[in-house]
Amino acid sequence: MSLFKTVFKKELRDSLRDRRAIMISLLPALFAPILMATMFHFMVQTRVSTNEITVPIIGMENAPDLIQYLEQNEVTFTAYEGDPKADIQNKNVKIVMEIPDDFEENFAQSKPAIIYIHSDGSLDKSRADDRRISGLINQYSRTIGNMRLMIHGVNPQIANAVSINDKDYSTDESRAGQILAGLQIFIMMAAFFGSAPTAIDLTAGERERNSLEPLLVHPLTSANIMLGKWLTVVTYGLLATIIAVVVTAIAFEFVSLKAAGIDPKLTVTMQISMIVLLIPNAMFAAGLQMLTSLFAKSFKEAQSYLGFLVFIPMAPVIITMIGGMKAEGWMFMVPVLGQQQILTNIMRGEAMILTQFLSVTAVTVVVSAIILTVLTKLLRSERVVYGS
Amino acid sequence: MIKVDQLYKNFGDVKAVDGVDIVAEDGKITGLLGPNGAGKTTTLRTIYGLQKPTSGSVSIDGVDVRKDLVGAAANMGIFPDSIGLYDRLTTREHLKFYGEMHGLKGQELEQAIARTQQYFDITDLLERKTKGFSHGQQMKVALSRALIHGPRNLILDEPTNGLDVMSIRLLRELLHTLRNEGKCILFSSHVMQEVTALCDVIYIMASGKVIASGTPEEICEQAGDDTLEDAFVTLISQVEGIEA
Repeated sequence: MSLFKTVFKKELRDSLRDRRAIMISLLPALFAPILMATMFHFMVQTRVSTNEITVPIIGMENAPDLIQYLEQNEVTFTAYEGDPKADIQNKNVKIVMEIPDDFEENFAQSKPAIIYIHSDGSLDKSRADDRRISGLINQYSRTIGNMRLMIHGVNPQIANAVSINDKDYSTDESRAGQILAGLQIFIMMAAFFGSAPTAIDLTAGERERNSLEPLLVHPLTSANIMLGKWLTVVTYGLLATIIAVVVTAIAFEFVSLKAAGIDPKLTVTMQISMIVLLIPNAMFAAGLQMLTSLFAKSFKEAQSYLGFLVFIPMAPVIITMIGGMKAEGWMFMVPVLGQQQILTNIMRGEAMILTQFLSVTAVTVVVSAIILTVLTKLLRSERVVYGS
Repeated sequence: MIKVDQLYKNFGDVKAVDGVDIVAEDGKITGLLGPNGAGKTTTLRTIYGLQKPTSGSVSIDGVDVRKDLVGAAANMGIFPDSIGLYDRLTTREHLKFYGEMHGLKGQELEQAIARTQQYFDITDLLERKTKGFSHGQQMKVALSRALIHGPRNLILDEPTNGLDVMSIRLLRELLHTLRNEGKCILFSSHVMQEVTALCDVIYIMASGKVIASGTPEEICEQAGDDTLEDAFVTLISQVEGIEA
C-alpha cells in the first residue's frame, strides 16, 4: 500500500515544473495580504482621526482663549497665509481654520463670533478633521454660553430643550473584527485558490491529455492512485495557506492599526495554531475541487466550475458575517465556517476553545475522507475514463 | 495466456462486443483483425479491465480480471489506444514512474530501464522531456512503457499506427523475439499486411462478433480464397451484407 508515494512523487515533480500553474496557485496568497494590509492602513488612518492633529490657521492671534482651549485638546496650529479655497482644491492642504479680525469684538459684545473652517467634504481625512475641530469649538462655545447665562442669573439647562444621549456601542474590538473578517475570508480561500490548478490538472487534465487510461492499466489500486493525487493537491492548498498566514503576519508587522484599536500582531504560536487549524480546510478544498473537476469534460470546463465552486463553502461564512451572527455550536459542525469562527478567536489573541477545534476538525476530516472515497470509486468508472 | 469467454458489452442498445471467445496462447502472436468499429478496442479494454463487460469473463494466466484487476495487471503489458505522455517529464522519468508502479525499485529498476531502452533505441530520448516528441517517438516511449516490467502477456491496440517503416520493422522483430521467449502477445490491427507478417493465430472481428479464427491458412480455407486479403473481404461481406 505504499505505491501512493510513487504517484505522489511523480505528480509533485510534474506539477512543480508547471511554472504558470504555480504562479496562479501561490501569487494571490503572497500579494493579497500585502494589498489588504496597505488598504486597511489607509482606511484606518483616514477614518479614525488620530488624537493629535495639526491645523493651518489664519488669524490665530484673534482668539487666544479659544486657541489655548484647542491646544489643550491636542490640536496644534501652523500659521497659514494664502487662498484656502485654491489650496484645498489643489490638495495642498486638507483643512484651514480662519478666525476673522472682528472675532474678538463680536465675542466681547456677546454677538455670534464667526469662525470659518475650510475643508473638502469628499476627503475622509479632511472631513474627520473638520468634525473634530467643530466638535471642540462647539464644546467651547457651549461652555462660554453657559457661563454667560449664569452671569445673567439664568439656569443654563433651560437652554437645552432636548438633549441627545448618544450611546454608540461600537467598540474598538468590533471595528477590529470587521477588518479582520476580510482577512479571514481571504486566508480561508487561499487553500481553494492554491489547490485549484493542480486539482484540475490531475483529474480533468489527465483525461484531456489521454494519460489516464495508460495510468490505470498499472497494477495499483484506485485508492493508491487517488491518494497520491489528492496528497499532491492538498500540498498546494496547504502551501498557499501557509504563505497567506505568514505574509499576513509579516505585513501587519509593518502596518500599524493601533489607532483603530486593532493589534493584529500574529505571534509565531498564533501562526502555527492557524496553520494547524487550516490543514483540514486544505484537505476539504482539495477533495471538493478534484471531485468537481473529475466530472468536467475538459480543462476549460473544470476551470469555470471551480470559479463558482469556491463561493459555496464561503457562503455560510459571508452570511454569518453580514448578519453579525454570534458563534453558535452548530457553526463548529460546518467545514470552512467553523474554521473561520476559530480563526477569529486566534487572530484576536483569544485562546482557542479545544472542543470547538476538535469538533470542526473531526467533521472536516470525515467529510474529506468521504470525498476521497467517492473520488476513488469514480476513478475507474467508465464515465470518468472514457467519458461514456 | 489470455482467455476471453463469452464476452458481451453493450452501450445502450449498441452491442459493441457480442459474444466473443478468444484464446491467446503463450509463445504465439494472436492478431485481432477487423474493420474500424468492429469492437476490437472495446474487447481489448475489457481484457485490461478498464471497461466492465455486460457479461462474460476474462482471465490472464488464470487470474480473473474482474475479481483481481491488480493481480492480473501485474502480468500484463498494455499499449492502449491513447499514448498519453506527460509533457514535463523526461523519457527516463516516465519509465521510472511506470516501473515503480510495477513494484520495481533500485538496481532492478535501473536494469529494467537499461533493457527497455534498447528495444526501440530510445537512448538519445531518455533525458529529454517528451514535449515536442514526434508521434513516432511518443509511440516508442509508450511501447517501452508496456514492456518495462517484462510482462508475460502483451496487449497492443493498433501498435503500428504512425510508426515509420524502420520502427515497424523493429517492432516486428521485437514481437518475434518476445514470442520466441514464450510470451503471449495479443494485438489488434486493421492493417492486413501487418497481421499476415506477424500473426500465428488470427481472429477476424466484425460487428462485435468473431466471424473466423485460426492460422492464416485455416482462414483462407474457411473462406475458400487463396490469399488472406480475399478471405478477409469474403468473410466481412458475409456479415455486413456488402457485395465483395
